[in-house]
Amino acid sequence: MANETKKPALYLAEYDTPNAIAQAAMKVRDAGYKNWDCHTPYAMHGMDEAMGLKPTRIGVLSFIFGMLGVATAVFMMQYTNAFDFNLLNIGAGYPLIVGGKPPGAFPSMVPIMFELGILLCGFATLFGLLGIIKLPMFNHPIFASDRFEAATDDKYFISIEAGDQKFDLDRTRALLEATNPTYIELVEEEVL
Amino acid sequence: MTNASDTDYRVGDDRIWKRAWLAPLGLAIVGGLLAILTADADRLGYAYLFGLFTTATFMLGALFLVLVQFLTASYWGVSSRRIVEVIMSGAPVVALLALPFIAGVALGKIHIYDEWQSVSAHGEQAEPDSGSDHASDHEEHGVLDFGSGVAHAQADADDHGEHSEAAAHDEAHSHTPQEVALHHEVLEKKSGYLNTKGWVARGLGYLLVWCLLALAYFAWSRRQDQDHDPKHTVRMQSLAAPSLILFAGALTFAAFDWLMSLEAAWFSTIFGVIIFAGSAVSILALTILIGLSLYKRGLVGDVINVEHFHDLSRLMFGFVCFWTYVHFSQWMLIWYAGIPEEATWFMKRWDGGWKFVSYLLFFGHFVAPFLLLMSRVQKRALPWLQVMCFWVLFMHIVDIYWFVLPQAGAFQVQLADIGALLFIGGVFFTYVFWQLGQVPLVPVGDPRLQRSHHLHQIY
Repeated sequence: MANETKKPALYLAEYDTPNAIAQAAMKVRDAGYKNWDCHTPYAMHGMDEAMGLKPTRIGVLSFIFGMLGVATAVFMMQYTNAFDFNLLNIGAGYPLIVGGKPPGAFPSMVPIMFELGILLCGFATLFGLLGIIKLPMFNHPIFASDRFEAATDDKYFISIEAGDQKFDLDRTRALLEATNPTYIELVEEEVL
Repeated sequence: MTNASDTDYRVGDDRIWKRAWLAPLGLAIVGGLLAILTADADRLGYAYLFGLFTTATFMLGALFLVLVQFLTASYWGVSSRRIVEVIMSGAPVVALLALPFIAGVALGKIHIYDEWQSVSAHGEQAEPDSGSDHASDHEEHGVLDFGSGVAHAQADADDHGEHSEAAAHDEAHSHTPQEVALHHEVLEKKSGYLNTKGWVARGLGYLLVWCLLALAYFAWSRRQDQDHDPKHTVRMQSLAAPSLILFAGALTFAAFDWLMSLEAAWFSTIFGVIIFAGSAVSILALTILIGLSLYKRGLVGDVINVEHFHDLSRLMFGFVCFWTYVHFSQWMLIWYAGIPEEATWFMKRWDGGWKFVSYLLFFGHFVAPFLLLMSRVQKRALPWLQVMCFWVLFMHIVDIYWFVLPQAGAFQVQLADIGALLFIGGVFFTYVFWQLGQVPLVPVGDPRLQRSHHLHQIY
């Protein structure tokens, strides 16, 4: 750790009221920043519009994987229980007669289709969500700021990350200052 | 908005809604004439039950939706609650229309329940001693018959491929004397519950429960319009749980008594739940449709807006899936077991042209709304939502039709069926649309109205 240096990670601006942060968020949104966030002690209605967030597309992922689960269930049951053809020489299916029903009777497959559809849908939703919100993440430079602890109490914060394409030490600071925060801080992270 | 008074949000002089009740009235008259002129006495019983029960499910769904909102102390639905309450308050209309039906069955003028009525009437007359002899007599046969019955059914199944569908149909409906005796024995055992006196008494009881609950909740809500007193909300909330228990019991047993007993020997414990699921779907579709119309005419301002329609349609989507789940469960368990006494009910809904209607229900009541109402975009596009609600409502009517009419024979939509539905539904909606003109269109006195007004869907 001898040649330990620091580089800017993000700007943190602190506000006292929900109104102030909503106004500020609209300005940051209009300035075209993408990689930024708002931190409030509670969920604020209307913040999505103020931040210009688009509706999540996780539903599309869930739907595709749910249908994939249904298709997998149909294929596996039809292949193993209904026909005796040999796919890719990995072994032939074996038509089964259960309870006097014809092999591959559709109604008896529905519970499995349902279960596998739900399972893959749930996996896609959970892991897709974790991917989108970048979890697990063991640390974030924002926690280097002592004042940020108040985000869970009574203060409202906007953070603009250095990774944003428009991020510029002077211009971003000027933008944030124009939104009348009570405090601005440049949070740095250690470079190993 | 904060000081909304009793005079706000009324139909007033709106060109369409002022006279909206005339339309269902016209339909009722046309439908009544149609039913009386075209139906024979036998068909009229089934047709009337179909119309009556379809209309009753609207009212029952509304009662459920109001009660469950108070049970959960929810605020999302407050602004659209008045529409639901007005439909709920039609309970006495349903009761009035049900009285001739109940009287007809009691006096032997309507013959749709003859299967168990004749047995229970016979049981009442017979002496107790001879009755028990009779039963034990059959029990002995019963053991033997059961074996032969199964063999018979298997032989049927084996030959099935060689028979034409019509021949198979005939065979399924021809019974050996032993089978008839066994059937009779089952009905005799059921006659403690399925007898005319008990049926009439219970029927009146259900109607009384629904009327009491509906009128009480409507009256309290109306009183709150005037005095804006939260104590009404508190009372309605504390009574919601026992009321829901009463409601659920009455609905389940009404479904048993009025629909399930059409096939007297058949039974299914989930039957009432299916009817309940259908009721919930239908009331949500109706509420969205009426709400959309009021919203477009500008009668409710933006107190009911796209956020509320989104919420209602989400619940409708959920109940469509729930309906499918319980309906499919019942069918699949009976299909899997393949026991003749259970399968008869479904055979009647498969043979004689009903197969098509069964498929229509699966694709129309489940697959279509499931795919076409799934995403947020589809639910928030109001013209699209309107079309889907009309469709879902139509499918609900088909659903009740599928419950009642197969008992009358092969699939054939008769003018009497449509006429009976138009008559009973028409009378009901004449009242509903008239009542909508008499009351504020949102519960202006509800303490949660403002929160409901500013409802916002984050996701």
